[in-house]
This record gives sequence, C-alpha cells and structure tokens, in this order.
Amino acid sequence: MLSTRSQTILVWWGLIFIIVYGLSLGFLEKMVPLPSAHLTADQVAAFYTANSFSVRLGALICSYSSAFMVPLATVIAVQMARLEKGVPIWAILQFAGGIMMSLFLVLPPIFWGVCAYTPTRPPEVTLIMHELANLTLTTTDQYYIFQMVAIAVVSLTAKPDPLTAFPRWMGYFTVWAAIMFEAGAIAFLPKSGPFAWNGLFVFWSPFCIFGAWFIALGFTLLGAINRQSALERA
Amino acid sequence: MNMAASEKRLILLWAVLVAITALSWGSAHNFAGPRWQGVVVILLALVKVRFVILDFMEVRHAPKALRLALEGWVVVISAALVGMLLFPQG
Amino acid sequence: MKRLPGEEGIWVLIAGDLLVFSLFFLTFMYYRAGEMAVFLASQRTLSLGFGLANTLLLLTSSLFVAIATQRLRVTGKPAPKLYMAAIACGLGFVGDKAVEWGDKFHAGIGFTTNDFYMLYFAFTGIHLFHVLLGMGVLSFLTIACQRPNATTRGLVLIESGAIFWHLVDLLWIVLFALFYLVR
Repeated sequence: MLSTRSQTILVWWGLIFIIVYGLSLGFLEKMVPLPSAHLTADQVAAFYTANSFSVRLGALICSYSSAFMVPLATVIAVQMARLEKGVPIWAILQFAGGIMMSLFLVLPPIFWGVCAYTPTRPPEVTLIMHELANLTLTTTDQYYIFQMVAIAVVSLTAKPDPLTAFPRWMGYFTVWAAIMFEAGAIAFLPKSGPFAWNGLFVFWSPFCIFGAWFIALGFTLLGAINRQSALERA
Repeated sequence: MNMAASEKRLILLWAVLVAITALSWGSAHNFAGPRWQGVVVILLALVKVRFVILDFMEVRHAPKALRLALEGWVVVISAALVGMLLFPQG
Repeated sequence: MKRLPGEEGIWVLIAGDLLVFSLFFLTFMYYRAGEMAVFLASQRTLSLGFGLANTLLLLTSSLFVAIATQRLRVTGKPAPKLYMAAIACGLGFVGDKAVEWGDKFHAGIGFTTNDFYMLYFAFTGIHLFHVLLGMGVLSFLTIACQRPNATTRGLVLIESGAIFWHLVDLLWIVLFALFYLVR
C-alpha cells in the first residue's frame, strides 16, 4: 500500500528546498545570472573578496538544500512505478538521472565557496575554480534529460488513469523542456552572447523552463497523491 | 487512384507554397537590394507559416481559441521581425 | 464543425517551441541590427542552393504527411508509404545539411567564426535536432497507421505526430528566410 502521507512530505521537502536553493543562488551567491565570462582574473578575484561572506553563507545554505531532487525523484519513481507493468524500468531510470542531477547542483556552490574562502590567493587560481563552478552548473544537462525522457515516456504511453501524476500534457511539456535543455552544453564554446554561460539560451532559458516545469510537477504530483489518498481512505 | 477533393486541395496548397518560396528566393538574388526586399521576404515567410498552421496542421477547423492564439502569434512575430528590420536602432 | 487536431498536450509542445524559436528569431534580428555589415557579408557565404533544397524537401514532406493523415481519418486507409516518403525527404534534409556544414567546416567557418555563424549553427543545429526527432516520430506514424486502432483510439496520437512534423517544416521556413534570404 502506498504511503501517500510520506510521499506528500517528501514532495514538500523537495519543493521547499528548491526554493531555498534558488533564493540562495540569487541573493547570497549572487549568481543569477552568472557573471560575464569575459571578466579578468583580477575582476573575478575582486568579486569574491567583496562578497566573501555572502558567497560562503550561500554555499552553506546550498549545501543543505541542493539535494532537493533526491526526495522528489523518489516520489516520482513511486508514482511512475504504479503506472508501469512488470519491472518499472523507466521509474528506475528517472530515479538514477534525477538523483545524479543533484551532484551538479551541489558542486557549483562548493566551488564558489572555495573561491570565497581564501580570496587573497592568486587570481588565476580563483578564476579556474570560478570557471569550473559555472560550467558545471550550465553544461551538465544530460542527467536531467534521462529523468525527463523517462517521465515523458511513462506519461505518454501509460494507460489512461485518473489517478496519474503525469497527465498527457505534462508528458508533452516535459518533452519540450528536455529538448530546450540540450542547449546548455554549448556554453563551452562562446564567452559572450546568448550561448555563453550567462546567456539567454544557456542560463535564463533553462533556469526559467526548469522552474516552470518544477512548479507544474509539484501540482501534478500533489494532486495525484491527494486523489490517491482519498481513494485509500474511502 | 481516386483522389479526394481535399487531397487535391493539399497538393494545390503545396504548389502555392513552392511558388512563394521561389518568389522569395528570386528576390534574394540581388545582394544589394532595397530595404523592402527584407520586409517582403519576412511577410512571405509568415504567409507560408500561416498556411502550414491552418491547412497542414488543420487549425482552420480547430476551436476558435487555438486558431486565434496561433494567428495572433503570426501577426505579432511578423510585426516584431519587420519592425526590427526597419528600425535597427531600436 | 470545429474539432481539435491532435490531442491537447501536443499544443503545449507546439506553443513552447514557437515561444523559444520566436526568441531565436528576435535574437537574430537584434544581433543583425548591431552588426549589419558582418551579417550581410557572412550571409553571402551561405549556400543558398542547399537552403532552398532543404525548404522544398520539408514542404514536400509535410504534404505527404498531411495527405497520409487526412486519408487515414477520412477513408480509414493507412498510407505508410507516404510517411516513408516523408522520412526520405527528412533524410535528404539531413544529408544536405551534412554536406553544407562539411563545406563550411572545410573552409574554416565554424560556430566561433562570428556572431552570424554562432547563431546560424546554434539555431539550425537545434532545428536539425528537431528534424531527427521528427523522423523518429514519422517512423512511429508509419507503424501506428497500420495498427487496428489507427482510426479510433490511435488516430489522435497519429495526428499529434503529424502536427509535430509540420512544426519542424514551419520553423525552417522562418529560419531559411532570416538567415538565407533577408538582404
């Protein structure tokens, strides 16, 4: 029997943490958007000197909150498994992709935190850690793709089910989000323009699309869990 | 093979789309053409887009809301692209 | 008589793609306005013939898909050969693209050459990804139209797949106009 109450708790845990992560990213790490890729080592070092405490505090808070996908991927997997026949292979793939995604959200705050930890070190050393953080954040899209494709497959191929957490429109929305995320890895090539790490299509578009997708997912998950628990009690 | 009238209509539409394409392509031969060449090319492209939406995607017979939204988009994007072409200074 | 073509969800995807590609189109015009000379000069180095061929291939493939889908709905007869013909057009598009890009790379022109080519390779690249995805969808349509439920439960999904292919055609129409034709 599905523990709908646990699922609800996990979803809210994940939702609250992603909000905390996002706020920390923007206001403490000051990385929304990421700074220009054209900044010199000295300018980057100056940023970390000036914002040392803020960035380190942000790293602390992100360290708690960046694994928000772990509880969510768990609930998504449970909700997918109830729709699949036999071994729920897509739920497993989603889980694998979803939790691995946490890695690439955990690491950038750590790297920024390291930059800010000793801002007096040689600027070139700070620069390399800064670049590592920014490129890790923006180019590691494949793990999201595994999670999204899995959700889309189950959403669109499962038998119609009024209790589903993945209505068909969500499947299509997820397909679209997955396509749009592919642009992220392009950030390795240019330093400015819409495909740089702070560009319209590499930073803002995935950031906004992910946010929208997450909100939609929150709705569909909680709605489905609600309906399922109502049925349980009946 | 007995072809329905609707299929003949689709083929005719395709012919029109190809003709418009040829026209646009022809207008592009002069590399130092007048400014309105760009406007014509953009508008012809959006005319083609509108036909693809209405007749290939069959939105012509779709609920009003969908048709309105898509036709609205065609108008807005046409205006925006032509506007940016004619007023590059912003 | 009004009916929604395809299922509701496909229009979510169409709307999203139109939104993002509109941003692509506007971004192109924005950069073009700032670097008119570079854009006009780079445009001359584009292979107009390939662009035109690709446009015609996609228009024709859309015709095949539209006829096949309509025929299925109206007469109940599947036309897998038409979907396969559309796939062939798609393969032609991909082949053309490979040669066209190969030529460019050979001439030393690439993503980092200038802003025109950055946008060119990025936007036509993302479009190419849609073409590949679309060919997968067409393969599905080829099989699905022959299933026993093709005219009943399966019809809506087939229509949705067709609509996605028409989107691929539609997006290229605008990309072709902006990159290759606007002087």
